[in-house]
Amino acid sequence: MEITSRETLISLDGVTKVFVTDEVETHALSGIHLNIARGEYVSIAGPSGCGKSTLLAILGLLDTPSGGSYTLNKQPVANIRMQERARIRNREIGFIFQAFNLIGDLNVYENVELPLTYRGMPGSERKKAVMEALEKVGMSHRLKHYPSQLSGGQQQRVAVARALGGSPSVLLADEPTGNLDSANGEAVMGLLKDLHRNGATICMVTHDPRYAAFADRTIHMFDGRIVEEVAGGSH
Amino acid sequence: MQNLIRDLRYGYRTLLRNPGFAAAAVISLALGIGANTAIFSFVNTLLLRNLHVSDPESLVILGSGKGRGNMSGTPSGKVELFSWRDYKDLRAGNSVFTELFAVDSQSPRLYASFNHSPGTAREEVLATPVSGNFFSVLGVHPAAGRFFGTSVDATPGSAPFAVLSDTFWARRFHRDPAVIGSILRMADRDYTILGAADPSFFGTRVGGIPDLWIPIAMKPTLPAVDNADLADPMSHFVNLFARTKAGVTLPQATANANLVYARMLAEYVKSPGPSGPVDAEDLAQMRTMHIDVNPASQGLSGLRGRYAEALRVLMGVVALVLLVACANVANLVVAMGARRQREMAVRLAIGAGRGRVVSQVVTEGLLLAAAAGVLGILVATGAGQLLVHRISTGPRQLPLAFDLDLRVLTFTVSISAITGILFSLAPAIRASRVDLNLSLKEGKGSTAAPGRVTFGRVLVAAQVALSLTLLVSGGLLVRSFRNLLISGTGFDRENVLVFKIDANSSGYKQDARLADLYTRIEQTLAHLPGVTAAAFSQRSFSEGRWMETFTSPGITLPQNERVIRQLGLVSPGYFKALRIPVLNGRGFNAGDSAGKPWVALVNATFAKQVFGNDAVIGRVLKMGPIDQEHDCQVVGIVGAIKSVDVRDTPEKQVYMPIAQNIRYAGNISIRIAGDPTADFHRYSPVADHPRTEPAGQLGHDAGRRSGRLSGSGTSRRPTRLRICPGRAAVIRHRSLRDGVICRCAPYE
Ligand SMILES: Nc1ncnc2c1ncn2[C@@H]1O[C@H](COP(=O)(O)OP(=O)(O)OP(=O)(O)O)[C@@H](O)[C@H]1O
Ligand SMILES: [Mg+2]
Repeated sequence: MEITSRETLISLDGVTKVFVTDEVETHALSGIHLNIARGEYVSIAGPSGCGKSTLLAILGLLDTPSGGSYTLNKQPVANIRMQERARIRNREIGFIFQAFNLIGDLNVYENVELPLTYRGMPGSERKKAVMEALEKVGMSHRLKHYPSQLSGGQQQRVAVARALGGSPSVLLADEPTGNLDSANGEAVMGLLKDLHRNGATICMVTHDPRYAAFADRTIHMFDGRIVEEVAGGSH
Repeated sequence: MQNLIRDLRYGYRTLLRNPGFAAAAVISLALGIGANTAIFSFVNTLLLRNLHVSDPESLVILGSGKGRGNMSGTPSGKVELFSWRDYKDLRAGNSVFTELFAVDSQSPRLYASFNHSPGTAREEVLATPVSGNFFSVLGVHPAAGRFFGTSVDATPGSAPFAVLSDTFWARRFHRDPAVIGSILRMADRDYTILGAADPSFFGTRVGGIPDLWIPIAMKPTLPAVDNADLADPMSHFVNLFARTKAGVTLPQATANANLVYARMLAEYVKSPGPSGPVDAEDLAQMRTMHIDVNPASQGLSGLRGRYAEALRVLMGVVALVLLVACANVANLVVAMGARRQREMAVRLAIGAGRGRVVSQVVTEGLLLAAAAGVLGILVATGAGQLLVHRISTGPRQLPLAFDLDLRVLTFTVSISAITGILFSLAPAIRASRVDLNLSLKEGKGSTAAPGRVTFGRVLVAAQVALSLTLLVSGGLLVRSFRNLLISGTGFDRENVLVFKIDANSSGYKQDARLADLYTRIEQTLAHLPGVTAAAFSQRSFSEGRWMETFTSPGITLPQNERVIRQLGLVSPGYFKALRIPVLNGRGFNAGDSAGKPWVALVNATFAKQVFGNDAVIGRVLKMGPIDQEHDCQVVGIVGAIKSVDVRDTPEKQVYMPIAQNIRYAGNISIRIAGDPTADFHRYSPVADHPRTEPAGQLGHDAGRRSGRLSGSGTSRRPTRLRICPGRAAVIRHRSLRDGVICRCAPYE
């Protein structure tokens, strides 16, 4: 392990998240301290409702913390503007969701291309990046298909291609195998592993200890706190 | 740009995938946009558009253009109508206009037969007399043949030339070029048809396309009501238009025109025309006269005055309709947006800026609106025709058409764009504000977020409020139209048929023989089964005025109040036929004939304003038409009627019997008893006359009511009443739905 020698990409310091609904306060996260180095593969585990997705949402700038500080790429995230946040999401972060979240009215090619168009990447370059990403996930033969015409595993592979097409600093995956059978699940995990081997930083929520084992480090959460950190898989 | 194309492509795809939504949205918007476009096209035609002539901006009119008719006597106050001599003198004497041309303020209805189509019955045509330079000054070109020029002005009665309007050429001759050069016979003269105008040219009166233009020089040969003595400087009947010289301002033009006019009047005083010497009173009156010079780039329009207000109200109403449609569609978009919330969240999550999401939704909105705009133009074409059809109740449609010019197109494109933005901006902003964390989670993405309910409620509330406003204003509108219709005209227009006889062109002169003809026809008609009364009158409702000054012993009103606003020549049955009450004294009867003492009836307004509380019956009136020679004794007071427009206020009216003041009076009104839809076939023959007798033929218009904007469901199919040459009059009748009513105004 060379973690110590690596540059810190993500740093959370005392991050809390409180949801207030109908006068009920839910403390989804309480005092999270977490550092993730560039090139690291971290998996997050814990019982349902413990705050895993909330943590990922904050890491991905989809949500803002109620307290504490978050530094991404040496930049404190608290005081950056909406537009800049969208730019960071677009360039630095790739998302993979449990529910795939492909856009139904766009075909495979267009789904992968979408984040790149938001970036204003020129056409030829964009085409190259899209094709590369789709080749990596083995979906380059289905360019004109719509999500509804693909299997769950294929859809998730397209979602992975979309996430990595823009070469983000970090891939955030929330139970990427949750809706897949084990064969497809393993295929997607294999993909992530390959990406990690080629230097990608990955932060993945998973319930499945088999998949957690792929990671450099596993974080266990309970009731909004990190209760245990284990190097390597959870066993 | 690329983004735009992508958004358009995507929007198009999304709409195709939601055909129900797209159809609902496009249709409701298309109706709204269509209604707005239709009304706007009328606003454009009547209120905004310039005449289709060269350099319309340099056109001016002397006066306001509102005056119409034939006014003899000394002008006073603001001068509206001019005499032929005024025209010639002003044209020669002014230093501010490059050209001046004259247009008769009224377009006579004449009866014409065409050599081109021999054997057909004579037909009514609307002819506008104009000065010879009319076409050249306006800078228009013939579509066929040629126009007449200034040479026609030279000798009165010697220039029987006619130019067809495109509308008439198309309607009557299907634009047959062979008709050019052929002869049309009208008012005992053979006119050569010189040419036909271009389709875009309708003269100077918007919505008043005549069938023909003829030289004003032919005026003296026209039938009595329409002719004029061109030599009489006090016979005022033309509107004067001019083109100002470059650099001349309106005030300068006004100053010069007045200067020249004052000089001319002084000349008339020195050498008076046929109307006799000018007295001190006339002179005092002349000092008050003044010519206003006004811009005339848009031409004249009676319709403009009549419908401007209603059009503005309608414009407001249809704008509200569109707003409601917008609110509807916004609701649909929000409902769609709820389904697409996850999509928007994904887009935001992978780095779309809020601006991108907003512009995408707005682009989709614009796409919908564009489709609706195109469909809206189709709707407008239909709605426009429907509207024109509804407001014109005579056999001739109002000469207005839905007309898509650049301005209307710009309007439609703009309201479509505004509409698109209006209904999609709020949903777009909402879409860009979705809670990402919430929306992306499995199972939570499509459930209702608390905010949406509120927004939806606001929309619904807004719709209800708008619809209510619409309902109320619509109701008010309908009520004001109803008021126009039912507000008392003072006579009973139900179950009255009015038709015309042209005795002039049948060879009758204005003498005792004419009076005898009228009497015989009136009596024959009155004795028909089913006819309860019949009468002749010189004018029927809305056919214009005959104003006249009067004096009366013992009355010392200032001259401007000694004016009869409507002098009616009628036969004895008139008051019975139109159910105008005789309030005091008696009406006319057969005894009021040429050889007997002259009599007159005054209306209640006249009695009150002129005689106050004094006795009226037995008073003496001296009036213009009888050259002050005859004393007319007032024998009765009748109810006041609205004679020109349903919006008229009470005015001083006087009636004289035709038998004592014989003039052409071609309107026959008959009152029908019982069911007006009865079949009239069995009532022939009406009259039996030798071969030389009236050959006039007659269109009759059902139920046109001036000042009305909504249709009332009266039949628009003309009832034909035919008086066949040499045989008998036959009343033929077709589908008379809910009673007919009154003859109507010349179309504007
Ligand atoms: N938008 C929200 N509003 C209110 N409470 C929320 C919201 N999002 C999450 N919570 C609450 O915060 C806590 C953490 O939720 P979170 O979704 O992070 O759990 P999780 O660890 O991802 O669970 P699971 O494994 O079931 O996905 C839960 O108690 C949840 O009810
Ligand atoms: Mg979760």
